[in-house]
Amino acid sequence: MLDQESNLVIDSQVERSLADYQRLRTLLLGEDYEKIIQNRVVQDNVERISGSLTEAFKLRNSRDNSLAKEMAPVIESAIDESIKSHPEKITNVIFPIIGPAVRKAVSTALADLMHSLNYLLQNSLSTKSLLWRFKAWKLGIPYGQYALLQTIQYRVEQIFFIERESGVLIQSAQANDVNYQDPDLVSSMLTAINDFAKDSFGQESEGIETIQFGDLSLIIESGPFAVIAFAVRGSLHKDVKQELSLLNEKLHASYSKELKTFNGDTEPLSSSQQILQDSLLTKEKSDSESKPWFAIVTVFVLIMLIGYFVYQRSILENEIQRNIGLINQTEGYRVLSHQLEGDQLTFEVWRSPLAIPKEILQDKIAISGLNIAIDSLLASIGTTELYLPYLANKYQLQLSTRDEQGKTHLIVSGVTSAENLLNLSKDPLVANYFVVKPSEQLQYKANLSVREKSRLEFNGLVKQINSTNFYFEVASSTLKQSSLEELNHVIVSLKRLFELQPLTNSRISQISVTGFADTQGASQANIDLSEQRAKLLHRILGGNDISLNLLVSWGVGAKDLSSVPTELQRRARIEVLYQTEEGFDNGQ
Amino acid sequence: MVNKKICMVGAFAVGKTSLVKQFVECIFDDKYHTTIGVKIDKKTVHVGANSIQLMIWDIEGIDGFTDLKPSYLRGASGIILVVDGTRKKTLESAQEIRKIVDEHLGDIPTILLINKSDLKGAWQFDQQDTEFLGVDEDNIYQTSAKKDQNVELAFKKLVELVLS
Repeated sequence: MLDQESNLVIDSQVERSLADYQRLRTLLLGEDYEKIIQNRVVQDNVERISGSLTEAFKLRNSRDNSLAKEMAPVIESAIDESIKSHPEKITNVIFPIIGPAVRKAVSTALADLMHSLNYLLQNSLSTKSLLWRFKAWKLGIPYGQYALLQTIQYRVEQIFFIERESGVLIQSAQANDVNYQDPDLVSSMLTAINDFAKDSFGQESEGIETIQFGDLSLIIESGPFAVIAFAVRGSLHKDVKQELSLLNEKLHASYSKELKTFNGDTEPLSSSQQILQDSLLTKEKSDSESKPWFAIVTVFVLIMLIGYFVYQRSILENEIQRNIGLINQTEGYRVLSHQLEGDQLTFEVWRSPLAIPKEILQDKIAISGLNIAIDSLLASIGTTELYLPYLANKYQLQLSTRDEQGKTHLIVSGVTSAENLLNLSKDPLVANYFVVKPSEQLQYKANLSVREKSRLEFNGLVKQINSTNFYFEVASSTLKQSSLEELNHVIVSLKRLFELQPLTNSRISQISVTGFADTQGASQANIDLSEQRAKLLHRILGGNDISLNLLVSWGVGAKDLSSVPTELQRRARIEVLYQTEEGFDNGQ
Repeated sequence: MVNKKICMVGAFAVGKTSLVKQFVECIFDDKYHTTIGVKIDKKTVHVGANSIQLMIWDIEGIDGFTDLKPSYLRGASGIILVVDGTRKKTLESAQEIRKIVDEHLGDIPTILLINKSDLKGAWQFDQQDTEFLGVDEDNIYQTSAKKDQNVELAFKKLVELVLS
């Protein structure tokens, strides 16, 4: 008690002395002194703070962001005030940077625009994009979503960081342009489904690891305090599963304390957002992976097989052509066509009666792996291309044909003996079809006698006369003008024959004239008309100094087939029969 | 933001889903839809200066054939136990649920809702009859999802209990 009383006495004495001191100072220095003192104190404080202000700012900034937060409204107000009061100052300050900034912004915007346009053109007008648009339309999904599905191998679209016990979402991250349901509800529902699965199928298990619907998979991994779930579009690549495990470990390592004491407040774990973002993996399909190797190999094999068959076929075709050439080079044979059925090859050929038997030819031709047959048709005498080479070879002459006035002349050139030429004209193939006509280029061998020459001429004339027809007007014995001219030639030829008789040791035995009529009219009338036609020629020949003793004539009426044109049926013909040392002949 | 898991439990057809729908969406639908498994909703509630996001697990009602799955309760911060004032038997279910909750979650903030107060004429029991459930009298509300009576009040009360 005494101590307390003594302390109080001391305090009152100090207060009194301070008051006295104050009063004394006022009396000595006046009222303004107090203000001066106060100003001095303030000034000292300002100087002291200004000396350490920069360091103080620096120190505070290194600790936390509170200074910036506090300064922000002050700076904003200051800038606002400055612009209002001195706008030109701000203009001057920002002018050097505003120009380049605008230019950069405009050029960037233009570059983006060009890039977008290019992308749009590439992705909107290509065949692939049109096909994708069609398929997306068929599936009823947006084009963007379909295009994404086609171009990615996998993409982690959303990540959930979930408190294991309550299912409360701690943090989530999602890829750009992905719009899903509320992640809070998804995470709770995921936990509920997991609980349901555990209840239903066994407590010991870790619960659901994968949920798949369509091309979206949800893969889940549990840690001691939290569950991590990835929503993955595309294939479940091993890299994704590995990333899930790494993230699980990383989050548990980084936030083990916060997770242990988690009470629903997600703020202490907010920095995990960036970690989750880093795990949003995407892998696009690479070109090499998208190459359809199976199709490429199949097409390659097909091309190789087709090439092999084409090669084999060309070899076979060459062999066939070689054999066709061989057949065509054989005298009296001409290939008309060929047919290949399985391993049976059949040649259809024209064959001259004079050619070698087809069995001999068949032995000459062979193609490995094929059975060969020759189907031969007897060639017509009119097939000159088949006969001429044979005749030309046989008589060693150059032969060609020319049609003149309804007759086929065999034009002969080259070098020959008269006998050879005679034999040619007597050859059954020639005599029955051609009129042999030596060309101007035909040269006779030097030892050709006058007799031989005459005989050749004689035979040629007989053949010419015997092969000539004379045609008449309808129902008349009047010769057509053309036939009248022919008749003049024949009369000259007949006279020449008489001149050649002694030179060739030949003797004309008879010149017969035969008349014909067409099938129109009565039979007897036709016989009469044909006789009149024959007699007309008979008289004309007689009138031209052809010996009447040799001339005979008769009419045979209508004897031709109905297939013969009627104007050709109305005709007459002259036939010379002569006798040589060898016997009778008519030049055929 | 603080997230809390809240479980709605009770016998079947006491109106749990309707109460959640009224609380979250301010909608009442006369049609009865039975809940299979669990249905989850969320709502942010502001109490004083605090904001809290409730993850409300509306768990299927129990009856003679369906038991409450304790795994759904795991990690819950609060329980809303619902009984139907017009059906006394729902008290028995509530007692059963209370036992399971105690067993798995221990002493946890719980409120009891005696629902269907719009049908009070048909009520078969009163608030005193719920004493045996051991819920504090301050935490018992007579609610009507249909008339929106005391629904928000009750949820806010639970939030206060959870945050305290």
